[in-house]
Amino acid sequence: MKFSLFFQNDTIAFLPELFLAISILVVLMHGSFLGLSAAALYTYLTPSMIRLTSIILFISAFLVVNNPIESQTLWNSIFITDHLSIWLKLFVVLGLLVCVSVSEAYMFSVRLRAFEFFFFIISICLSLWLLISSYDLLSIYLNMEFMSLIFYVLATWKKNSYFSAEAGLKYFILGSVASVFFLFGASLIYFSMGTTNLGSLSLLTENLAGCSPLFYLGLICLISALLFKLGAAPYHMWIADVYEGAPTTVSLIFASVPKLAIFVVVLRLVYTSFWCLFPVFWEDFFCLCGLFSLFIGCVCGLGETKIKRLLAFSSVAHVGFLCLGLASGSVEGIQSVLFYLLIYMLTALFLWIYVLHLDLTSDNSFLTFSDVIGLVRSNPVFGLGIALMIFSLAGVPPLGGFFAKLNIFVSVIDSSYYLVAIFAVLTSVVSAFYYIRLIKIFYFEKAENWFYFVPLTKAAAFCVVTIGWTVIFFMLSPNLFYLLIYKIAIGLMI
Amino acid sequence: MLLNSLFLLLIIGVFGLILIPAEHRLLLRQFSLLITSLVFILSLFLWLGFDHSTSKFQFVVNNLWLPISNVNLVLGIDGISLFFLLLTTLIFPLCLLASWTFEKGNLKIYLISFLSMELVLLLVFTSLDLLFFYIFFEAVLIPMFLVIGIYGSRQRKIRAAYMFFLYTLLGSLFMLIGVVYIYLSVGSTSYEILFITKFSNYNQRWLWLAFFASFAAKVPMLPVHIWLPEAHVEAPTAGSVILAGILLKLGSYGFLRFSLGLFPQACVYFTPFVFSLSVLGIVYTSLTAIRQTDLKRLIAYTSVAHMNLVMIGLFSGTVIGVEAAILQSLSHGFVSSALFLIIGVLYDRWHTRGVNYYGGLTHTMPIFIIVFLFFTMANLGLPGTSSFVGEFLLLVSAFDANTTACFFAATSMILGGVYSLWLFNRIAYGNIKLVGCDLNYREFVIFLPLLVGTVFMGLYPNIFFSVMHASVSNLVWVDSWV
Repeated sequence: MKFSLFFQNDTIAFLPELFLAISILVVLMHGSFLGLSAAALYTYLTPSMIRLTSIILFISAFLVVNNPIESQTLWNSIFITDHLSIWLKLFVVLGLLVCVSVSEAYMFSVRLRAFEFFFFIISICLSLWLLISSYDLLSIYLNMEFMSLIFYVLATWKKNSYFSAEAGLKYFILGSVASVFFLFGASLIYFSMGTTNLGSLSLLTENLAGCSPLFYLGLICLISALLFKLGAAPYHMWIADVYEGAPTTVSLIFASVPKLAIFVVVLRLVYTSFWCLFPVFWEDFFCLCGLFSLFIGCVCGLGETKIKRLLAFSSVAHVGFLCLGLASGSVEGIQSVLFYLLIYMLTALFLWIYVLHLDLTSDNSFLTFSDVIGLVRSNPVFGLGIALMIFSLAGVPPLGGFFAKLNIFVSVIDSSYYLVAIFAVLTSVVSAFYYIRLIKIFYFEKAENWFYFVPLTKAAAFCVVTIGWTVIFFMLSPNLFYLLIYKIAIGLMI
Repeated sequence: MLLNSLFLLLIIGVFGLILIPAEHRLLLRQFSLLITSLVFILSLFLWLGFDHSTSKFQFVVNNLWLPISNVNLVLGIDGISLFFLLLTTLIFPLCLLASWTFEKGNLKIYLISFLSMELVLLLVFTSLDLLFFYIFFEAVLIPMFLVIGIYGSRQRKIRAAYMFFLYTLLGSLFMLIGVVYIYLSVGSTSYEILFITKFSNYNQRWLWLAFFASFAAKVPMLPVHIWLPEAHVEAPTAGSVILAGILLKLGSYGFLRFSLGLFPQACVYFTPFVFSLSVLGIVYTSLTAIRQTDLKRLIAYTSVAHMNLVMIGLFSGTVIGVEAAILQSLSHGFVSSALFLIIGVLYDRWHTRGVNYYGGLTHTMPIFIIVFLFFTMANLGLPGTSSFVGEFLLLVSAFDANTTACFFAATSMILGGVYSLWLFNRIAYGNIKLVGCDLNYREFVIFLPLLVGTVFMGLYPNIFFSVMHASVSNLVWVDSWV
């Protein structure tokens, strides 16, 4: 342990996390003392907590970008700070900021008055940050459990809905099984290698002549647990029910933010520590996983009529694309995965903000196609934005989603996986059908009942416009995104 | 700079339309007509300033996009793309004039879709970068999907919009794999570099097939032509005009610029394949057109027949063939647009497209019948119209390449006569079934440029041939063909 440098590097690099930890206590105090009277509870508790949480996340965004420490491992090598961790922490906190600020009207309509919700949101931020910085298998496990436990609780937040309870229970049971597999895999790797530190593992696996089969079993368990958390096939069974049953604010958080963190963990495992196993193991595994996810995403999405489940299956398909990008094994692969993650997070935020808005205006407890008819007549500009975002998800040029898919194709073809690319193309076309079916319902159908103009809340409108401009007009200035992603990816490979 | 100013003007037009409130309908229409007319006048300067003697790209603008990956928005024209560009900028003001009495639905989305379609089409025809060609080639799907789906006349429009979108998307995604492979093996997607790159025969054949998947759906060739009758029928009048007049040319432009330009040996290899599909297409769709009872569907099938004849010319391997293919594309752009506008005139008055409902129109709408007769004759290839020049020279070049194909393609002239004359006969002569007003001033102004253009191209096509000649000769390497 480098005691002398303890307060020079480690603590300074973890200043944002320390700030979040202290602010959790502040939020807890503020909420419990503010919500003492019923008048306060019903009127200004929720807005006050939302503003406090937003300010905390906003300040921590600045803290995380102004990191004076150069890339190194911290806290006795269980954490690391490098470009990947800094920028992805920033993206995570920006995503959470959007999620928190748009939820105000929804929370009022669903009577979500407990202040502990915001405590959990800041804890999500803290856990995802720690997960992104993790550099040791045990630290990954601990932070992953931290994040998952919070998610299990958040999924059951709607206390008067059976769907919510079902969602939380399914997530809890299946997620716990996955975490147990992670621990089992980590222990098998410790058994064969003697260390759990990712840096040491990369040195030890460098010139590996032959591995025991237990090592491969450990790797499979490890990576399967992580893919479970992402919702890749064949571990996708929980996604539809959880996204459907959880309160829409929580689904918004689920759909946009955790994928970034878990993909960072996957990238570190695959590209740093077990890099040398790439041609033997990883490329087949991720190709299979990716193709299967694409297939499940496109086939299951065709039969769905409920909006939230449709978006859940489309996220399975997108995780499939990301797995294909991982399978390529080159710097272009990492770049394409990170870029796709960013664009996907923005698109998912936009669409789930729309679902949030729909939840406010609809009477049913679950949203089907009949709720979205006539969007273009009630909110024309928003409808055009949604249509363009859906085209971006389908991968139609000249929107941002096309460039994300283009990069994935570049990395896949660079590694000469031609049949994989053709299969990805075919599933893209089939999944394009259910995207344009959504647009058809927005634009082309006549509704029987009257619809009325419900304006978006101010925060939602601001977030929607910013995200919309970024993705729709991405083509005009791609340099910012591309250069940032190049810097991050090269930092990982070195 | 001139090319940049063209599409900047259209971007200003789209933003202006967004800012004008939706209730000033006349102002919206006048503003969009002004913008598209200005774009047309500016594009005429491109023709004036064009140098016939060289095949190099002219008016080249290099907008930097992502310099580290060697992908930039390079725009430029040569003899081939100049005329497609002019066709585009001419057809759009006429379309906007034709939709002047458009009462149904949201006019703003309609006009914004049209202006953005024009923007994307201009960028397709002038882009000299393969990736950007692909981006704009597919980007035209979005506004066209919205136009067909929102402003179509009956419920079948949804099916038509799906078929249009999905057929083109499937082919284009295969082309994307081809584009990515080219980018990775050459290191750049700039056309000028790719033109001199030699791909191996094996690579050329796979890449040609990938590009064929995309362009064949657009031309359209058999068997992926079914979206065309659906989309043309269900789209509104102006939408059908854009589809027939310009979007079909995207396919043959793609074949010309990219398949013939980048993969010449593979083109020779696949020529029998293309010839068989095209000949089948011509004969089959001409025969099907005879049976149609929906006016638009008949003209849509004839569009398929004409574009397949263009394909025969493109793959004939002669300079005459390619030049005639371009001229026939242009002429089809004029004639087919005019025919759809004619059907639009009838639809505006009586809101039906069934042939059974129309008869004896010569007595009540004589000026309209003059225009209709002229374009019907142009459709079947009457000498004196541009379509005769195109068809005749295409048959000459097809005879040079493959006499059997030429024999079957020549039946297109006979079958063309059958469907065109029979259609005209049923509508114009016979008992008077419907009584209505003749062409008004606006409709006459729409047809006038198309009429003049068709006659001009038919009587003195050398104006067009002399401009194209240098570029086409550069494209068709006579000595490298077998």
